[in-house]
Amino acid sequence: MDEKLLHKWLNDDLTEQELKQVEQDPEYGYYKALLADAKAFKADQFSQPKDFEEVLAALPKKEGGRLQYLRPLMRIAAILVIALGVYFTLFNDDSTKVATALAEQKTVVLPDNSEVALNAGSNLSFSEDSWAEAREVQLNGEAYFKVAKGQVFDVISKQGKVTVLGTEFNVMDRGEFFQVVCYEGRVAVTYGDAKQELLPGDAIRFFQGEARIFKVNDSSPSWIANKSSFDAVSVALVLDELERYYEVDINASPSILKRQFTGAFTHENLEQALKQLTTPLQLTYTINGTAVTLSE
Amino acid sequence: MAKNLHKDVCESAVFERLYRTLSKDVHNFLYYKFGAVAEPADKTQEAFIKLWENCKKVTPDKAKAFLFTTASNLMLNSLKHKKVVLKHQQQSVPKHTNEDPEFIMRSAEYYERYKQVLASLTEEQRVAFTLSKIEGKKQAEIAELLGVTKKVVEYRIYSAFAVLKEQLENFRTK
Repeated sequence: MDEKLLHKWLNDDLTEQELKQVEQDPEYGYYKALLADAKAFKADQFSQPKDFEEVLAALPKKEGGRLQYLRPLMRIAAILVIALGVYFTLFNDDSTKVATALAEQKTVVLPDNSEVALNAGSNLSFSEDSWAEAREVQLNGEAYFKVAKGQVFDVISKQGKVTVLGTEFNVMDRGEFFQVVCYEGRVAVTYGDAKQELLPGDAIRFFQGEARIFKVNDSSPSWIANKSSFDAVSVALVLDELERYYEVDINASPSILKRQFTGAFTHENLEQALKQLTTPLQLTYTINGTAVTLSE
Repeated sequence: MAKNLHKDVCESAVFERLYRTLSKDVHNFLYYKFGAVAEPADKTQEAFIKLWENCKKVTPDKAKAFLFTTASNLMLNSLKHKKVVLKHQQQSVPKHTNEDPEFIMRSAEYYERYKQVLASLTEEQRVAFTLSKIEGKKQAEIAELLGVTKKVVEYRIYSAFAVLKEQLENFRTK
């Protein structure tokens, strides 16, 4: 038989074709029988390792054996400690959450007596436990902050981050609209890579990624006084806002939604609010149950 | 993977698991390498006792290598230059299927000769050949046990067989 094939055959390395060739070889029967006969020398017919129990008995005794029985207990204790640790870290979220429904406003007092007025359809969360280390709140929606003097105060919202010392400011994060107005003190606004400091009366707005800095004359946001005011924002955003105060569905054509609105509407009366909105835009409105349609 | 759970083999559960999984391999290795007279079961036990005594220095994944080296050294110390003797058992020879023609005259003389040829192989050839063809271990596993490459194991098996087929040629039926 070819030496290479024999080598491959002994090491189970043959292709199917080669195996057929080997099986045809006149030597093959002899080789196969030789290998089979090797099994007559199999070790375990003559000698076997001892039972573990026998070896165990022959093992030298170790010192400190008294502690041995405690070890499984210590292991269980360690597992419990880790499990509790993981549980408290992951599942026992100690943050305080405040949410407002439609047409609802709430005032929240933070652990350092800072005040947050939360506008409708918004939510705020913060951790009382870690408040001493970091004054940090998460905001989704719109809120007006009166921050007590002290360490850095961070408002983290979906689109950006506002960092302040002690001051009053309003953060609005709605859809693609992110606006911060500073009423007192100084705030730093981070949006993506952009960072901007605001002084009292300064406002910054990002809409669909574009920034605009402008001035405001008010001393607090209009919604605190139960109205919403706007400065050159799209009608679509205004209608969104309106739907937060009244239980209505407002329909308008895309051409109307794209127009800009400067002005305010009240939170107290739907008809009045609609008038405030439609008059400057020269639109008409019809109310049918909860459905409102705007038309030109 | 259990091996990372324990930093050494001092715990009796770890030690027991090692004994149950490795004692047979160590024992058979000793048997094929040195033969039956060397009392492979005793030497296997001794190697495990050494492991127990050194348990703090041996991590579970190093235990296998430690056992093979220790067992082999223990054996060498006790039987320098003794002749390797394997035993055999005619009854246990696998029967060939009826259609198979007999290729070998399986006389008592033949098994005696087979035994002598096995004993005459180098230790390396014999261990590789027997672990593969008798114990049915894979070449890669044998290579790991012996700390050599798979190619080396394959060559040892081949060269062992070359000796066998040549030396037993006389018993071949014509």
